[in-house]
Amino acid sequence: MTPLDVATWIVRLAGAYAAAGLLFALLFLFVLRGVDRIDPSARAGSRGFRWIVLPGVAALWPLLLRRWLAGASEPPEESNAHRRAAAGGRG
Amino acid sequence: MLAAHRRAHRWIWLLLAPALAALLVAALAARPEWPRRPLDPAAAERAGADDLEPEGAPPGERAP
Amino acid sequence: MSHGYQAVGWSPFKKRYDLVLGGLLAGYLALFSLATLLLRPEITAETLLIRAFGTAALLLLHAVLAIGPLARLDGRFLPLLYNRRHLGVTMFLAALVHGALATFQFHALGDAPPLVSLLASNTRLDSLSQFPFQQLGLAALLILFLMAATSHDFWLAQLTAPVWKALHMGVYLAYALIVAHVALGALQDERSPLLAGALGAGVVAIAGLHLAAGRREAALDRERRAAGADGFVEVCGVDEIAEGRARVVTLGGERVAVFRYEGRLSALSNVCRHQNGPLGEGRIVDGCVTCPWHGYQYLPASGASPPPFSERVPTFRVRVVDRRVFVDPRPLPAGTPVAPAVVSESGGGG
Repeated sequence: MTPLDVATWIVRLAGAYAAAGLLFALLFLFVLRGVDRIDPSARAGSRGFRWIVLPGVAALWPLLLRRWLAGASEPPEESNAHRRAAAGGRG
Repeated sequence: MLAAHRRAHRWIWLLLAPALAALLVAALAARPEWPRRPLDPAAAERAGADDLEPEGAPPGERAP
Repeated sequence: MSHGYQAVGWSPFKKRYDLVLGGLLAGYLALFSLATLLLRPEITAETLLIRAFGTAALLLLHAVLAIGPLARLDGRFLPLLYNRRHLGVTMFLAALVHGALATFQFHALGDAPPLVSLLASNTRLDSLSQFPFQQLGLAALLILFLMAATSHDFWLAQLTAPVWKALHMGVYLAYALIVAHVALGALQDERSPLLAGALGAGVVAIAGLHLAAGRREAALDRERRAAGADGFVEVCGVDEIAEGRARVVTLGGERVAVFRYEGRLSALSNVCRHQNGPLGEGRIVDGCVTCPWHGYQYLPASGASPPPFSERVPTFRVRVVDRRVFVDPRPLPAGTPVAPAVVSESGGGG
């Protein structure tokens, strides 16, 4: 395969990913409002908020889709040394 | 910042500092004697360049 | 915090910050254009804009990178950190204008689509002076896009702060790519020593700041304290902690902040739930531990944010014996109330 072929495939794949992401973002943020389901703070959020997170939703749509399908209703808890010790130890 | 991230930062910069310095030195040393091509073809034309290709040895090879 | 997300949490400080930032950027673009037109009057408008926005983005990137270590070394730089994300997004937008214009100028109106041409037209990986530097710029731009796109607090919550931070440490890869992009790109043709000198000075400054800040933090991270028979670790003397402030110590693999307030002592995880800021470097305001980065607050006795907020951090048991402070290094789950140690006026305590 020539560099041109490789480059063409890379651009096509990236374009497909971005198009899927944009479609998902519009559904997730405005139409089906999945964002309200997975994050309570989004429910009370402004419309400007939905527009400003749109690029990120389009970019990271697999993560949000998985969380939406899994029925998440709260943002996840972070993991760090203290929280792990508190949970796994005497807590 | 988490302790793990602080450690990562220290490692990143211990590696990045000499790497970036080496890169800059190597890049400056690799500069050809003449520009490989004008970055602005239209401007070069206005400035009177007849031939956009550099003369002499190919770019990147220094004259003996 | 946990009520509705806004697009931007505007405050008078943020508006001033953005006004100054916008003014400086506009001023720089104007001055750069003027200087370039005076020195190189034959330059085209596209090339001028490409260079103006490219150098602006490069300068902004250095400013953004300097803020973190500067704030570690001297707390007076904290106000710059408070709204750093706006600086980062502005830098990405300037880089985007530069990249889009350059892609158009060098790759549009040809046989192949511009992005395909950008990726495929130069494959001289074996050369330095002919290196495919434009692809380096594209890679850096993609990283900066991901960072700009996830700069809202929604992403801090969805990714969790540690994952978010790991993603945003991609800025260092972006920085290396951009230094290479400039060194193997513009610097190969630029005869004046100004660009090389400025880039070299920038790299030395950013690397130097990070190494200095890292060295200072390493000492605290390395300290190890032995636990007594009861499992508690001696931290310091009561009088070493100022009223309304904290003493920070490394316990259980992460830093712990011991706060002194109104004759009492409480210990909580030093790691703020919002963006992992250093709670121990904040102070007690309105009875709450207040994070110095963005002002998130926690009740010292429980590590829980006051209603209506719901952030919580792990807490630790504290004891005072003979005016020495002891902390149990085994953390309690986030938000667990712990009776504060009482500091009496004359030695001893509960």
